Amino acid sequence: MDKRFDDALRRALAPNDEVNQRLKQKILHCVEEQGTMAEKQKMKLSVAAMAAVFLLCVSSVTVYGAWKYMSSSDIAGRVQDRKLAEAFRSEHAQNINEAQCYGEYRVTLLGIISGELLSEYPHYHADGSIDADRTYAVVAIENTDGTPMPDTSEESYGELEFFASPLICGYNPAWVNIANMSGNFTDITEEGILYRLLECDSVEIFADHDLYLCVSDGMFYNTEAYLYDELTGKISRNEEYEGLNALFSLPMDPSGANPEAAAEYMAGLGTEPDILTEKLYVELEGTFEVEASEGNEKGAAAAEYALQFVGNPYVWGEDSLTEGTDSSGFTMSVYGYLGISLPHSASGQRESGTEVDALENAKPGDLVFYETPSHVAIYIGDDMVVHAMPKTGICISEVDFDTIAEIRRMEPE
Amino acid sequence: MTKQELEVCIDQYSKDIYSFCRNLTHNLQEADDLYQDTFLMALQLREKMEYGKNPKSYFLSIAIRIWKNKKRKFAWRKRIADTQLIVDERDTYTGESAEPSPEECIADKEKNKTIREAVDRLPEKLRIVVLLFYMEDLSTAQIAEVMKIPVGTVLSRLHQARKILKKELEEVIYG
Repeated sequence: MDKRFDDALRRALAPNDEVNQRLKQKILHCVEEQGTMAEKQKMKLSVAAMAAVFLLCVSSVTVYGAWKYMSSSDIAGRVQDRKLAEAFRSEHAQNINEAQCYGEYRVTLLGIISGELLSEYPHYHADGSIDADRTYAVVAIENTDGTPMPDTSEESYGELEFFASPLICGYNPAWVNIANMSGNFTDITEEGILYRLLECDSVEIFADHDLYLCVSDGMFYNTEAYLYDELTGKISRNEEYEGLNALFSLPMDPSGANPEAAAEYMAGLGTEPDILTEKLYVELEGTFEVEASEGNEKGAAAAEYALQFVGNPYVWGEDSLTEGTDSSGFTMSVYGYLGISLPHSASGQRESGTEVDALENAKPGDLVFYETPSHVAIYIGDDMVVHAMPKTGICISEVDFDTIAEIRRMEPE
Repeated sequence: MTKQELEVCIDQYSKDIYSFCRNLTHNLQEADDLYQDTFLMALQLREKMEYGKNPKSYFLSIAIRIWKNKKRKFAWRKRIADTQLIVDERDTYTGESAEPSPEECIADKEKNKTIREAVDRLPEKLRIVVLLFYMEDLSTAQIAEVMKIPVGTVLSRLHQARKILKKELEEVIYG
């Protein structure tokens, strides 16, 4: 071989990345802690431990009895999580075994469990502390025509995209889903059936809401597959959608609900670095003034009026500028003050007024609608908007913090 | 492997494994996660590992498997989180252990950066082989074992990768 070439590559690729000390310490600490734990478990579970199959060489297994699917507990065992397997066998777990067929797939929700420290592999917060309270669920996905699903090691597995997530009635699923809730999943294919073990922050605190579990095609939350009624907060399948859009109702014990913790959780959701963060929080310069132009007095007044509520909270379904409002309640109340009455729903507002053809022609007071379903903001000029956001309350953002769907002017011509 | 032996391994191979994780993931946070998950998995499996039997290969094979399994779910976070690309900040180290003269240093730094960028652009299948061979110093037989593919496939991927890299880097390396 070409020595000069090889040497150049060896030099360039020399492993010189140092692990930071905190991470190193954390791992050594885990070895200390779990090492002793594993030792004890081994005594008790030596048979199970011997039977456990290493993830790297997962091979086919015997399906127990006549039951077609592996149990949630088996799947947890499959990913080497004995603690979670145990939890799925406990009385706290809910074995559901409900199937739905849509598109070319049959989806079966096997089981779900929520609780503290259920897994051997805890999820860590960014600061290194353990995220104790988690929800775990297992779904089985198979082809309705009986063709086996690809093994996760096959290339064709990479072409399959499924999105499975708990959803919460009253919270826009485009915002509040597994991807935002510190979620994870592991896929395993056994006997032609794809099993997905998913986990995210516990949804139990929301047990006083209707809870769902969606399984659709696509890698992210699929806005075409489901409908979100922003007035009732209900989430439903889009019957016209032709692909996979299963939606299960999760039976929850309402006594597990904790509205305070839920509100706190929602307030903290998305505090991790976010592409939008920079564009989401804009501080107005002291010299900023809403520009009023002829024929746009009402719009300018709306923008001016709206700005005084920055910092007030977001509350879904409400329309109080001081006590809490959602995005469309905010625009409704602002325009209501100026004597222009708008419906509460963003989609209804999108029917009102006249369309502005381009962002360059937007004037203060225009409503900016976004691709994120039912989000609406008020343009204030200088490429900025003021709006009520679930994470941030009423705030000022750059107009393009999200993809703009449409801009409309409410002022009568 | 005992707990103490695993601790020794973590110490001994941390640079190798961590560099691999960073090059595989291209993202600081993901690299940290992968590195951590790799050793946590190793912890679960340490009874199956033998201290004397090249544990580095074993760690690398775990890392690759975890990465493949997780790659798709990272896409979520990639969409919501600001990904910190490593390529840009690699300027901070030279990739050299010896200390060359300042002029050499700058030229080499540039050269190494160009090479790393070319490697980054390789399709993942080829990239993993290149990293295992040049970064981790594994033999082709060891790579075959780590990736669970035939030695012939390793050789052909290595050959393909070299061909692409030689074409791209001709001036940088031979110029």
